[in-house]
Amino acid sequence: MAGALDPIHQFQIVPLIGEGAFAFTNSAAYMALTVVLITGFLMIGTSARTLVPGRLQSLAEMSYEFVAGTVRQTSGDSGMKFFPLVFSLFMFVLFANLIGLIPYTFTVTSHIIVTFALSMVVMLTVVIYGFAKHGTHFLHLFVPSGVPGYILPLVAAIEVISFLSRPISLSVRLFANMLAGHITLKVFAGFVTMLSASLGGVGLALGVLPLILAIGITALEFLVAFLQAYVFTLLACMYLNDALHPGH
Amino acid sequence: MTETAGPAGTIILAQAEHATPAETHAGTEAHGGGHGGGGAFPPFDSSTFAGQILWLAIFFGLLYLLMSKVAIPRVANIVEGRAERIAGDLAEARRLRAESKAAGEAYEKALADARSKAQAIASETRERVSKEADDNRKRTEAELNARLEAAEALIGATKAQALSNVRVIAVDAASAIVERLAGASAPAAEIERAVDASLAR
Amino acid sequence: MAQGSNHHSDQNDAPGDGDLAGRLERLDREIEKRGSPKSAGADGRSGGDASSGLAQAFRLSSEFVAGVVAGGIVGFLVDKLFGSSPWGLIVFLLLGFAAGVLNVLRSAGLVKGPGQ
Repeated sequence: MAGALDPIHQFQIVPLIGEGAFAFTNSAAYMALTVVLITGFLMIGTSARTLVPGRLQSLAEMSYEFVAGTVRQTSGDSGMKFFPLVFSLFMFVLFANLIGLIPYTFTVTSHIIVTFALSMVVMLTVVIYGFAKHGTHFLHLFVPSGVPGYILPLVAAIEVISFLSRPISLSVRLFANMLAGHITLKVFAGFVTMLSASLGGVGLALGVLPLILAIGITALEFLVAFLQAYVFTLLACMYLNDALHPGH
Repeated sequence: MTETAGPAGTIILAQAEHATPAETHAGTEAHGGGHGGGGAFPPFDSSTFAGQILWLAIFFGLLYLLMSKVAIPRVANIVEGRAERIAGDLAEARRLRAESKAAGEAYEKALADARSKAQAIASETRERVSKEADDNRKRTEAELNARLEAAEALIGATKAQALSNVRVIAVDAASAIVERLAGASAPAAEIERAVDASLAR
Repeated sequence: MAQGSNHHSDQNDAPGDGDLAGRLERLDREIEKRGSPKSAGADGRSGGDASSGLAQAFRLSSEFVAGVVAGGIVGFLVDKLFGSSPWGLIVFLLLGFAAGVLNVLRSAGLVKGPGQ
């Protein structure tokens, strides 16, 4: 029971099948669940194929059009070649965030290595596609035009570090928001149980306050879960846009 | 014995009570330690990194494949299909609107045509009627004139007739008077001349 | 409805006809509003704009820190490679600081992005 009240316990990684570094852990299980839910959601949502969409179908279409709109807005129609990647990223992050809000579940995106790996997928796509498409012209990304020669190395160094900071910023933002949100929720939920357990009836009455707070924070976390997925997607689109149009 | 047993028992109980959290604490430590990293904060526990990356690569790759090969084409099919359908319907609506507008214009035109035609017919009728009336009047006038002339002629003829009768009577009377007075018949030509002269007066 | 009655007095037609004109007018406006499917897409996009203000706030929160952290990591790696401790760390932390400021200005839209 001590573990249940520990706000850190929910981030623990436990091997379910097998042993060692590559064991199938709860984290892997929730990744699998995320993939299954996304696929199921989209397949069931699109199974009816009605002209006037039902609830699930309009949700599926909404997610499609939302991501498509974001891609078109940030990188134009040429950005649509990255649409499958961006859509997968958005759905994965969104579903992982939302699944994590259900009590007693594990949040895949609360582990920095996961968010960092996802952002590295974006950055590697940018770098590889950028060099493949534009060759050394891609390096113009780091050389702003109209900068005098003598401070160019300094500016270029800053630009390179700024570029390197992108995956960090991308992954830390998502990770930190998920982590902080879940710790806060856990702490407030812990207050409720602690107060009602230790002080009896009075504690139960007092526990209503943090309970209300916990409910409010849960609502806020739903917003954050969606917004973080959106921010992640939006920034991924903007970075991918750099691969499409580096400098001039 | 019984007096000392009491405190001893409580101590043992207290020890037992203490033992539980200690054991659980050790348990969690062992639990955390089992995954290496020396009980580090789990998200920063680098011993789990490799495994997570591996599974993420597997499942995210799977998701990417599922999305790009199956799910996105399905949703796109529906969305684009609807967009096409809506565009088609809009075009149809636009076409129908143009048609109805044309029909409305044609109707207006027909109405205007009919109106001008009616006006033409009305004016024509009016003209015809007035012309007829004119003709009627003229004909009646002519008739009346003719009748008047005939009457006048008749009156003239009758008058002439009467006058000539008067002359014959006057000549007869004059010759008779001359005969009675003079006892002799005067030449007819002279009497006629005299009657004519007095008639002319 | 005002439009309908307007048409009445304009055209001086039968009431049924005026209603038809009003309906045609409404249809016209409706079709113009729908326009091409492209504008419908723009409509859907406006939902994203509404949440992009909050998204902007979330962006700003980590841009600066990320710049400094990236500078620190690069400095640390440089020191490890060339044994220049602690100068690499110092120089690249400063550069990272500058990059962080640049990141913040950029995501706030005050400075144009790279290559623009």
